[in-house]
Amino acid sequence: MPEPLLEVKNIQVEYRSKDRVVKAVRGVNLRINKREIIGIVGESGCGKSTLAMTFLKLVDIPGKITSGEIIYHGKTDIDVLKLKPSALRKYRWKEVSMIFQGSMNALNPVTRIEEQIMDTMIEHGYEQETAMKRVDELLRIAGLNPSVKRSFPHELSGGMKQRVNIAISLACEPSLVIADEATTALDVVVQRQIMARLLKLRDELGISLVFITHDISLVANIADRVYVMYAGKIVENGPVKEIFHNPKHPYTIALLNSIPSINRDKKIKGIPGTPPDLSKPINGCPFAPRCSKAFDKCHEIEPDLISIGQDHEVSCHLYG
Amino acid sequence: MPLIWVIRMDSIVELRNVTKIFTNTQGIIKRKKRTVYALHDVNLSIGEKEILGLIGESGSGKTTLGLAVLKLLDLEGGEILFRGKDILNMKKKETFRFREKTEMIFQDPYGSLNPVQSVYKIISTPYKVFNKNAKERDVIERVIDTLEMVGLNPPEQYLAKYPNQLSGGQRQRVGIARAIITNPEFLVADEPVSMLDVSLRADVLNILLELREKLGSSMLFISHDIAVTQYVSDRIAVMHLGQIVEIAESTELVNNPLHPYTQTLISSIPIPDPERRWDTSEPKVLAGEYVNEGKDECSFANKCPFVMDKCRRSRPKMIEKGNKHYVACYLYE
Repeated sequence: MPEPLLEVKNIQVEYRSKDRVVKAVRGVNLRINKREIIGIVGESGCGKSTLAMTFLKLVDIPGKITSGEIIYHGKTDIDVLKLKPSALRKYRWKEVSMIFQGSMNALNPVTRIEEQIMDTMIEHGYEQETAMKRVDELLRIAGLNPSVKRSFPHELSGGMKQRVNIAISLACEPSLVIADEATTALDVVVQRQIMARLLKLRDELGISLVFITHDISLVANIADRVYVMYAGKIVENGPVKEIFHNPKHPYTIALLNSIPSINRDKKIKGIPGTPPDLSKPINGCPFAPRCSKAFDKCHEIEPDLISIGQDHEVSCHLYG
Repeated sequence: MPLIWVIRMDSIVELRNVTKIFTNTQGIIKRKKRTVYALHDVNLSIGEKEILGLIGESGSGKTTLGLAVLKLLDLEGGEILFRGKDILNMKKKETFRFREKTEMIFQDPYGSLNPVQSVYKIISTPYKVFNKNAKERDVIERVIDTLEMVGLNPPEQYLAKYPNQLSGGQRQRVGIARAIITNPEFLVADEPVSMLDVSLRADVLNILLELREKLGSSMLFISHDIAVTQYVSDRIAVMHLGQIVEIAESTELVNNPLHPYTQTLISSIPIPDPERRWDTSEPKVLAGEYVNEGKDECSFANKCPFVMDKCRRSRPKMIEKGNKHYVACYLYE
């Protein structure tokens, strides 16, 4: 029986501005087990990055988590959203860390790599000397030569900077690392090197990983379980093989039909239309206007996630 | 001169020994000049109605090559022929005609459209430049036809819209419409779908394929995404640090990559099938960051797991390994 590490219950996030409210995440349930690799896929604007930020309670004004619960099962169970600022500081990075989107720009340009990694550790209570010793090890784990610690970020390539970010994310020995489009801007060869490195870390350190990406092919390669997100909700989730070989939701199917793959002589097809505006109320299934299988009910009632097999859930009236 | 491998009888664009060097000065007190060969002795030809894919990592010179064939750059060496004419020594009038026959589709659908111009204005401008005496009514008709061709239906609805009223996919179609309204014979598409959402890419790629059929234009398709490139291209050329290291028909290149760099590249592509995952080993390229400084050596020598002495002594020639498959690597000599 897999042990859950992080449980997300009915999370809702809104972004508020003067004249409108955008419901970015509209009630998501999600579970990350120990030593598990989760993929969260979806188009831009579907709320996947916002969702990931809630795991660390990073959503800030104008965003607001309006309901839901996030339970982290560490040594003790932690109710993340109720943590006080000081406890939250300890939770972030020591328990859950993140590799940010565009994190090639996430490094401070005027301090050496070494200091940036050490800063993180010292902030979390490591001794100066222990931290200094650990820098070499962390860089090696991330696949870098320890000599780069004396470099400034601009002296490194995009791939190397991303590895530094991986090193920083592992600095305080977290149990869960969230990678938000961590390799999107990198070349495929570098991407593969970094992925291989992260997979190894799972095996060696026993950490869990969450990959947030629009690259479905990448998810097929690394994830154990996949969540497909659309318009702020999970529309389908299941084991990676189920999602790719037995997809149920018309959106998942359309998404899989829209990507070219090498050596597949199949005509690809785009998905007509665009995702709904989340600042307006949604009636019925949010995918219905783009769905080729939509019927009357789809435009009226929003379907719930229902179980349709071993660990496989879908929210679609075709199966309810 | 080993040119035979690239010259096709029906080529529309030909690059012969094209070299482009960028220099920049580094350091404030000690001025150091750094030379980078963005294109290093490149030979290539694009056939009539052919879509040639150009792949390689960022910084390999793909975009520079795209700009060079459109006469948007000066070269340090070599020549580029468009229908047999040297584009670098064209007179003003010839250049004007050349500009009409060649167009570019840009990567960024947000940055490449003027936000204060209507769709009609954006698309009609190039047409008016090359057809000064066209009547407004004809221009409108032409724009409508072009919008239809890129799948913006009904076209009348889009004429008065501004870019901020369009989605990314629609914007990119406007960019394509602007490029094809003059009926160009040759297009350069530089990463045309990399900034689009996955669900929208397919349609834009299919439009490019349809346009080739309808207009009969040739295309240089620049991308770092090999799956996308294979989908649209007839042949694929692989670039590494300013050098073309391999070129073959798309399927052949993907199924049977010969150059160690191409092999690494192909084996690193994620396939959307959990049954065909990567093994967990890291790709066998040596670490390090290099630039092409114009040395007579293989551009991949510093990273190649199979490197031999001679790889650093002189640059391997492009040779044919059957089936119009060309590779520049001493492993195959």
